[in-house]
Amino acid sequence: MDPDVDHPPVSPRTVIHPLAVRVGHWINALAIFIMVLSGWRIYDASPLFHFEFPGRLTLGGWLAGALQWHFAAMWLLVLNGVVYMLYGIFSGHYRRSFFPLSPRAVAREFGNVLRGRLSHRLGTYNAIQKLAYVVVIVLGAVLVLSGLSIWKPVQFQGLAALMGGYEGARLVHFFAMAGVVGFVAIHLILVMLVPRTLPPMFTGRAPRAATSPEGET
Amino acid sequence: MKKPPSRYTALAAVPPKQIQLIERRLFLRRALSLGALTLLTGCDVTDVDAVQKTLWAMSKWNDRVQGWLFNPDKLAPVYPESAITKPFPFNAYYDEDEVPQVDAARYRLMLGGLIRDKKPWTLPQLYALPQVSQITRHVCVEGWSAIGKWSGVPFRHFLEAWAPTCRSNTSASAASTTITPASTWPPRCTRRRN
Repeated sequence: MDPDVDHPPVSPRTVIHPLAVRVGHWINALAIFIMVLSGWRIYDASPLFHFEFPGRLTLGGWLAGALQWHFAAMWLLVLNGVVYMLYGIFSGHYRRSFFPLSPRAVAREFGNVLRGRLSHRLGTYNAIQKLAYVVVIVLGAVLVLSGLSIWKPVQFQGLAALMGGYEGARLVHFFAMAGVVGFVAIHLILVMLVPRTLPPMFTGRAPRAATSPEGET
Repeated sequence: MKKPPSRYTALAAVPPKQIQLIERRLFLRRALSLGALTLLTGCDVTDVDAVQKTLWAMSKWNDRVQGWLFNPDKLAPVYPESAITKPFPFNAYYDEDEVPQVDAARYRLMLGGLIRDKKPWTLPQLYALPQVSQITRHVCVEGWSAIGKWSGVPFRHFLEAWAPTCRSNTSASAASTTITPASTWPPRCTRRRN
């Protein structure tokens, strides 16, 4: 299946990813890269479960180094995330791109996936994609809130209590990380399967034909 | 009152300067590898010194922001006796059977840095200060936590009475979530919240 056969690049081209989203996306990618890899090293200092992350896949070299990376990149993640969310809410980007989102639509799309029929129009998300983006944004917020509870369990004791205290917040932080890493993995696999989705993330533009509704392949 | 475990007094016997040097050396050596970054990007992070300096600067900036952002008088929640973690995890750079034996009579707490009175302290002098007991959660920088009963002279009282020689616009402060001497020594001077 070659998705480009039906939609050869034709100009004029339209902007499908606004500049704010593109800049935010790549800053976020860098921040998440640093946060996850340094976070794995921090995890290894006192594993929650019976496994450790391979040291070579981590960042910081040892606990104190990883903490420095983690507590440096957290500002990048949070500041960028706040700007992105404010933009998403007030520009209507979220409303246009992610909603309406109904369980029925998700179920229907899931049925399509099972039958091997994936709809992918550049700049328009199917129900599963919408759900995934909404979930990962929520997970990002959960990561920050649980992270605050672990970072300052005395100052944020009320917040920590919502997650079952310090130890509960650790678990929440871990599983939210696992969710985000799962999202990133699928995200990257899909980009590799449909490579024409990558250039617009830099240029913002896509062939106009590719943005029109396409038949299921 | 219960005597403080000897492992703490033993640790305090190591000059802070020496601990700092060891920490810094370990830090530099281990952080130099920057394993993942080099591995995943396939490029050699040559300007490691700049990376290190940035991280240190960021870390110092974090300390300042925290001092400014958070309430130093917020106390950790206390727990009932029944919540105490048993056995409390042993955590030190030596094993339990290697705990150094310290002669209490000859013990001296050596003081240095930005303080007025650098006279060494003996154990009876320390015990004469007002003591308290509390049951709180110890949160280790490694991530694990355990609830324990902590007794002795609050480090804060010690600092306020004996180490207020920071510059006029600063005040001495110690970590509020942990009260092990190793993590709160040496005292830091941070800008006072206005």
